[in-house]
Amino acid sequence: MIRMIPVLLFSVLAALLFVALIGSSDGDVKRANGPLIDQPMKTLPLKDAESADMPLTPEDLHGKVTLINLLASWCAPCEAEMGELVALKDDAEAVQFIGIAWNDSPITIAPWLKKHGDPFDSMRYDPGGRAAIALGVRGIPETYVVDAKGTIRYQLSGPLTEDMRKNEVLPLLKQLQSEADDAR
Amino acid sequence: MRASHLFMIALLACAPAQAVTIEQKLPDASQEQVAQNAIGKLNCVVCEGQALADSDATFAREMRHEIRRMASEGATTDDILTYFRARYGASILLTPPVQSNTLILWFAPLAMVLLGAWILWRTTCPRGGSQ
Repeated sequence: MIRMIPVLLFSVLAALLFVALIGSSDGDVKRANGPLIDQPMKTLPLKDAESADMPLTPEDLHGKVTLINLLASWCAPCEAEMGELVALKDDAEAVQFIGIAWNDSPITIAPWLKKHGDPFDSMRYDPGGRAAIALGVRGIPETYVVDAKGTIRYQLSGPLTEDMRKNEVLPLLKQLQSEADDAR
Repeated sequence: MRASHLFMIALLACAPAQAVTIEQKLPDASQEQVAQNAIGKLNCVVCEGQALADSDATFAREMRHEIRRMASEGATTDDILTYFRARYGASILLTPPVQSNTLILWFAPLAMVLLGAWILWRTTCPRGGSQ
């Protein structure tokens, strides 16, 4: 029996190490538990289509439920999720949709949106990645939902799927919109 | 030209190109030092297992640029690290902090060494005491 003790100890340590490795990855942005969840949305330094400063401020978000999507025309997963975003906008028309083009230009984004669908009420540009860094982005596409008080309530790293749209994002948008309507 | 020279030239030509990005340093040496200190303590978020300082990815370059911008506005190294940790979590730090969920990562290697020493002692020392 005593000969088994080292093996048992090793197994226990290896299991603990595995659990710790999985558990310590708090920076891995997963749905609804990124570090910015429940934090107020700060001003994002962005540009308009003419490269003039057009920051997204807390005032732009106040009183409106907002979905922010970071995308680029050269990003294949962005193309894949665009149909889902259009369908989401159709079901949540009162929600403000803001697109942020990361390292992309209006010259390429405009025809790309025309081809794949354009769910956005406003399109802004992040040519140097400052806004992406401020949002803790790890790659695109990345989607955020901000409630009418300006608090980040949801973060999705990666493309929106039909299942996520129907079962996570749309119910959340409806709930937040309902809360916003009640607060008026 | 001798064949060996040609071979050497061919070998050099086949060597992987080293990605060298010349980045604009800050004119103020102390601010550049602050930026370098911060850059040296962060991971690249788009290239798994690579330090921010070593990555040539576009997003890594943008992060270094943002760090220099923050340093030029008077941010300290701690300010910059706090800013990035607040957005990316502790995993963006090259050296994860000692906290409850990282204790095992810090102390498991020591435990493994002690366990190995104990196993070595058990298997090499004669049993049966003073015979």
